[in-house]
Amino acid sequence: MMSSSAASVVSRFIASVDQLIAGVRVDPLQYLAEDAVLEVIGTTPISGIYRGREEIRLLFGCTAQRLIASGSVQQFDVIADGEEVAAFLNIRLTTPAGEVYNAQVDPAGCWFRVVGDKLVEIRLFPDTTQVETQLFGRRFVPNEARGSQSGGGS
Amino acid sequence: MSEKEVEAVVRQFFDLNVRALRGEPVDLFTVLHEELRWTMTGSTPVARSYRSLQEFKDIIGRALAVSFRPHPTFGLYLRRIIVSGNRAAVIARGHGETAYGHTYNNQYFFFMEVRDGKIARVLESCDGSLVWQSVYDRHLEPDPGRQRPAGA
Repeated sequence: MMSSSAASVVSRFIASVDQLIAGVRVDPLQYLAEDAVLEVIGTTPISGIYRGREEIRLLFGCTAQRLIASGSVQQFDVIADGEEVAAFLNIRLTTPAGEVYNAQVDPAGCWFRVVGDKLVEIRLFPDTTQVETQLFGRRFVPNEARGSQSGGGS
Repeated sequence: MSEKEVEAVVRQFFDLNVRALRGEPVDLFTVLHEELRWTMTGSTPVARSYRSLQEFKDIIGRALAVSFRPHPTFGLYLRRIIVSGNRAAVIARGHGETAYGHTYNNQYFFFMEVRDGKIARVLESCDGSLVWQSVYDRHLEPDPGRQRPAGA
């Protein structure tokens, strides 16, 4: 069964994130429950599990604010059932240095769980290759080249 | 097809995948539609749209065979599923060991569309950085050609 209410909470949250990135003074965290959990998959510097709205605001939000100068987040497709919503998002970001994350605008998966009118779980599947290269200025080097480089691995 | 039947087809794909990665002689591709369109998002060497079952078999089937070692505990494990009509969203965990000997423990997000009793369209996201490091034997270094954020 399609759950229009859960999906609409997700849509409003994504629209709010998009507005914030565009410079509009909005607070997307108003759509999160106090004990919401955000997981960003992978092992990038922004990957991990953020527990609670304040941790999401202080740790993830502040880091994202430093990394992102402009961009957009659009909902590309969605499937919902009960309190669970799976969405594909088109995320394109530009850093203060002018580097572009996801110039090709590949969709990124995101899984949500909604209780009442609040998000209690967000699991984001960004392009972790682009996070490392475009947002954090790193590159992937063949391991046989390790040691021949001046600084070694990170 | 009912949503239960759609879910059964999707679950069968993951079950076959687990059995194949464990080294059982099963045909992983029997639940995939001849007119398959499988899009791997991201920036890895295999990220692109595959526009037929044959193309998917030729490229991804071969890549899987040479990139991963079989083991009784390896596989692509379905963790969560939502079904709506003939479409499903899935979170899965991929567990294995690559040909380079690296542990592979990836998280996947799929959108799947079932037609004629088979999976016809797939949109896939996963941790591409892990793919580079474990499947393609790379490591990360600061890129001298790029500006790094303060504190990174």
